[in-house]
Amino acid sequence: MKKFVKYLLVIGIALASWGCEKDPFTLSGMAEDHFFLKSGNQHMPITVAGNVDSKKFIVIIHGGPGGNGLDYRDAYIKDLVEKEFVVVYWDQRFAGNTQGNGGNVDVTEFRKDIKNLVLLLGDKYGSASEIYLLGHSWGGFLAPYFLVDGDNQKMVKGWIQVGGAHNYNLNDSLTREILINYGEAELAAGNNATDWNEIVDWCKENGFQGSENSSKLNQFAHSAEGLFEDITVPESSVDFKKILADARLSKWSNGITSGKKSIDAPTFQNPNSDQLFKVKLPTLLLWGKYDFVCPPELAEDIEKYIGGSDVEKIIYSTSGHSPMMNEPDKFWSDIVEWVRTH
Amino acid sequence: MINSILRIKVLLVILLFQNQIHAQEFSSYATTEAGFTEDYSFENTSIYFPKNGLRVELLGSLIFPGFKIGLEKPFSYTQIEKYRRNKIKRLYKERYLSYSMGMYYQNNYHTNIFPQAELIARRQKSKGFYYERSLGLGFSRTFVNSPTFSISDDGKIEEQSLSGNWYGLASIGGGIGYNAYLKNQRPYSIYLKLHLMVMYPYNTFITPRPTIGIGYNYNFSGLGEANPRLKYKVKRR
Repeated sequence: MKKFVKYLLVIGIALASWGCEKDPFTLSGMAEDHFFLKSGNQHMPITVAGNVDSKKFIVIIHGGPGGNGLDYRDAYIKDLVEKEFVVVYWDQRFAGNTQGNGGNVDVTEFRKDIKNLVLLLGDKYGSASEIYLLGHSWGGFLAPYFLVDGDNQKMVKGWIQVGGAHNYNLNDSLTREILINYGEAELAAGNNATDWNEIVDWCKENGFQGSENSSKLNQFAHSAEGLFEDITVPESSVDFKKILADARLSKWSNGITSGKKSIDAPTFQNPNSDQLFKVKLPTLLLWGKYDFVCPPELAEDIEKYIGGSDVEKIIYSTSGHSPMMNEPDKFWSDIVEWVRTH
Repeated sequence: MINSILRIKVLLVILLFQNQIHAQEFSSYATTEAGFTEDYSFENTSIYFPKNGLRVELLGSLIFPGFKIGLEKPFSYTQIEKYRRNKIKRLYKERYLSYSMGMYYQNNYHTNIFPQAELIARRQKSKGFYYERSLGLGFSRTFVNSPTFSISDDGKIEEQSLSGNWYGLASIGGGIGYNAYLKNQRPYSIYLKLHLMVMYPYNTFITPRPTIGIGYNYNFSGLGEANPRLKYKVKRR
């Protein structure tokens, strides 16, 4: 019996190490590389896909907390971005397909993870690689949080901020304000009265501070987006192969439990606005007009405080919180154009 | 919290040692339903005894391959005879303890090896068809399936070999099968079973994992006596 168990273990370990033999790094042509970044007992998956010859790497810092990198990978990004540049899809700790036994949830660990990711990319794909950070939503907090720390921004060529929450307190106050303003206008126009009445009444009765209010505002902000017919949602076919190939349940459980854990709670004490003067990088600000989750006025706050002068802002007129989903053609084309020139 | 850990420990101990306890106190006795007391001797009835089994199961989690192999040992067995008019209908209720080693491989995620002990409740009909339910406890060791790198505080990059994590594992399962012994005296059964495994602590809480298995169970004597505690019930309508 002992022998039997031993044989099984040997077979298991041999199968487990099977995947480790292949060198995952493509140094020319089109990459489709997979590897993990280990931090403590967290194993964070990274997919590097696209044209490595360009030496330009766009690192997606996904939203959430508890989102995942590969959900940004659709036909548009493959066709418009990966053919020209490299896109790095990284799942943050406690998110997506990241696996491990708990670990430190301190927000500074996320900053350290971004640094380690950039170091790893430089080491494996060559020091001449140029890194562009693309932060979306919660990732829009992490990107500037990383950039304002020490010399980190020297490791990066540019910053792309998409509907990002760089300042949580400001974010919540703006969300409350925009919900009231739009809500009253919609009520006056006689649109979706039941929904808007609930939203407007709650916002008027409650402030924006405190985690309960914050999460309620976030919930209303997402539902408000669904009340506008102007927001475009392109038809997309369901990719069953992608769904089956994913560790979907890991993503779901990570998404739900990370949300419950309030990983982002400490961000209220870390508004990036007063540190943004340190950022001298070329910056591209991309926002949806109907972004109630992270209102477009947040882009104005960045413009006001950022230390660099090369700042460009684009507002998408038929988008909400995720313009890469609402106007993907225009969104990714704008990014490609900007990266080409920076 | 301490109480629940203690309860889990006690359950584990019971699971692991129950088999030996029952093997020692082997007894054959007949109980009957109230109102239908009959004097049956085992010689006059057809008594089928469950045996030890070697289970081999092809295990898949949607499209990801895996397998499970293990032993099952009966520890409790009830034969029920239902008399309706002139016909006898037999049912077999069996309880097994199963010790198994499972694994699955998922590309770009992990390979998981998970030994576990399962308590299986099986109910068979005289033609050999059965369904079973199971409850398992064990642990899991994963190995991530792509190269893994760690970076020290001074920026030194190191590749990690056989990197992965340990988890506690609990599972529930349910399935149907066919026991070829009851009809044809062939010592095997085949089955189809769904499992839901839960691994803990997975990141901030747990991760569930459903799997489906097609299995073959070869019954044999040996590897310790299979002396299930026998109950015999008669029901008459």
